[in-house]
Amino acid sequence: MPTDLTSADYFRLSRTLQKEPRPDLADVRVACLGSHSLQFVEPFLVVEGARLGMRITSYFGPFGQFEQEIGNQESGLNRFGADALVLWLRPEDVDPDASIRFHGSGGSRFRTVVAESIKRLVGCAQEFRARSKGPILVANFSPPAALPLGPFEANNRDSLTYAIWEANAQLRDAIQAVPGTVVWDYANLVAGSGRDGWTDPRLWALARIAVAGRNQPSLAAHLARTLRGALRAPAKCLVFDLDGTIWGGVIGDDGIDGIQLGDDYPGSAYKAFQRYLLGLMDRGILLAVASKNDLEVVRQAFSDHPDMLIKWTDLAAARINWQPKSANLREIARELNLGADALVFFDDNPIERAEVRSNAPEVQVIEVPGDPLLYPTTLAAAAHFDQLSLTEEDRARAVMYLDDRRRQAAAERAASPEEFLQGLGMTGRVGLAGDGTLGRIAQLIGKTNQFNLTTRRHTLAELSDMARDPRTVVAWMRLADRFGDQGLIAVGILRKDGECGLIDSFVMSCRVMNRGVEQALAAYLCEHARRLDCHTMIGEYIPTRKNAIVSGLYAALGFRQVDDAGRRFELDLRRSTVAWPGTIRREEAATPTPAAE
Amino acid sequence: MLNARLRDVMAAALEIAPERITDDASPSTIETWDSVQHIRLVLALEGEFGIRFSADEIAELTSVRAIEERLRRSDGKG
Repeated sequence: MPTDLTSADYFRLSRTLQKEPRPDLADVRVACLGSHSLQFVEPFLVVEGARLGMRITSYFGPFGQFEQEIGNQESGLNRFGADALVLWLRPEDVDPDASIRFHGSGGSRFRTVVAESIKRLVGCAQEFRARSKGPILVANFSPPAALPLGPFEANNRDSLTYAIWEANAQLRDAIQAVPGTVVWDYANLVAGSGRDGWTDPRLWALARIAVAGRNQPSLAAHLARTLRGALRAPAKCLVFDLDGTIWGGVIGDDGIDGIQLGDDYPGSAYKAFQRYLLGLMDRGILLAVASKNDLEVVRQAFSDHPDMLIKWTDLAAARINWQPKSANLREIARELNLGADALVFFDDNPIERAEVRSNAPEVQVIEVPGDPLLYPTTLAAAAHFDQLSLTEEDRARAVMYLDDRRRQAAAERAASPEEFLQGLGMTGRVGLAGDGTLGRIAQLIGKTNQFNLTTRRHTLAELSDMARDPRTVVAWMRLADRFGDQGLIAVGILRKDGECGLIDSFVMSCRVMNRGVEQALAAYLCEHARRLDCHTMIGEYIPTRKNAIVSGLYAALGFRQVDDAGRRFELDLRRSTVAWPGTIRREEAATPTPAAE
Repeated sequence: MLNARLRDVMAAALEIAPERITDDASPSTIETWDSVQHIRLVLALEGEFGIRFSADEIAELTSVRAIEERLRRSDGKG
């Protein structure tokens, strides 16, 4: 979020950041190609990147040279060695008449320029993708400040405005052909800041710079945030406080009738914030509470207050007690099988925020403003929950956690673990990766820390290549039971190496631990290994700070340890295999047709 | 006498030590003062001194002396 820094402040800060060692920042090398001069963005990008945890080194190609920079092995871009690529083409730079004299050709000239531009952008993305696995950000198209039909653009279906909206939809669809390519939503950035004054005619005339000085910080902030979202997995759970956060006042002192929550100000500010939080839940972010209060009073507020939008059952976890918040956050992380770094903490009390910052530094703490009317925008401006694309699992996640609570209750009622598993009525569906599953597979591979044998973080582009490789099997498993569908929860990658089938990756969502899923997936992988004429299955365990729970997995599945360190295990497929567990009914998906090259 | 505020802004925008900003400094004596840095410099000056230059002025403000002169003129206008 740009603040009130002056340009000179940005230049000074950028210089300092480039010189200082900053081990807390992740190095990112970004190459930018544009149809206009982009160099201006550099100092702003360095500073805004650092705010989001990145140390950005950038390269800017000479403007207008897309194909030359990407195609030529000796170009500045290829010598730079980028981790990420930004493509920023404006149709008005390619052909000024196409938009300014839009109605001269009934819009057809504009549509042609857009179609050709999209083709060029996709071509550049493909060529970059052949050499690099890094994310590619493609700017979409923004209407100019001066619209041909003034205030009546939207009244005319054949206006430039509609043509640009359609062009943006086409661009979004076209880049799906290149895995790991993302729209950089330049159009909404400009609209959000205001199209009037977005450009400065002096800068355009003198230097071909398309962004006015006062907008350069917010442009860099938006680009940095998009880049961060393309490189980092989002946080998974928002833990919030109650008093002063989702209602005004102190419930312990003021009572249910005394707290501020309702349709009139100031209660309306808190009600609006509750609605915003439920919107987060709808897109898969877990909600949890950490509050210093008496549990009974709080439970009563949740069940009896007529304006309470968040229900007790919406919470994935709650810690209502007088313990330090840092301790409660750690317990919540443990209960939800998450790392503490997947939690974001929102509390109106600066003392509690400071306590969490010093005693649970992995938790991401939001700096909350004093005015509750600003809570929703504060949370929206924070990048923690940014997510490239929502998968079916994300939307269903909150429901799945509630199903889990019912499963937990059933487990407590069951006489034995076996009876519990039988009673679940589980169905496991297995299959091979295809277009419909790769997004979720990349997500699981990218964010699973605990039940992850090798912690190899393959990108979507790499997974897409593997799925097409006949010597590699990218297998997935979904699980459903009588309490609900748990979605795609496990992935295994098998690589044929001579007569050996090497398990490159084996990850599972911790939500389905102790149900036999790992055994089922291993059985499925063994079948594929036999089909590929492998004699031996090889399993690896690469220890990390977080994956100790799977150190004994291969031994439990019947593999033999073959080294002293307990990192390599083998199973002779000619004599044995892993059997599919009897408690899970098996279904198999049709093999997907390989994606087009 | 060169204004200390002006010297600091110029040093930041041109990425050089403030001592190098002398009365007769210009793009011919300061190698980082190229066309890209010139635009940065002009925007930084506008922000620092709360003024707005015309495109013609931006093109002409290519020496410390010219910039000082221009700032003095807008000072006089209040």
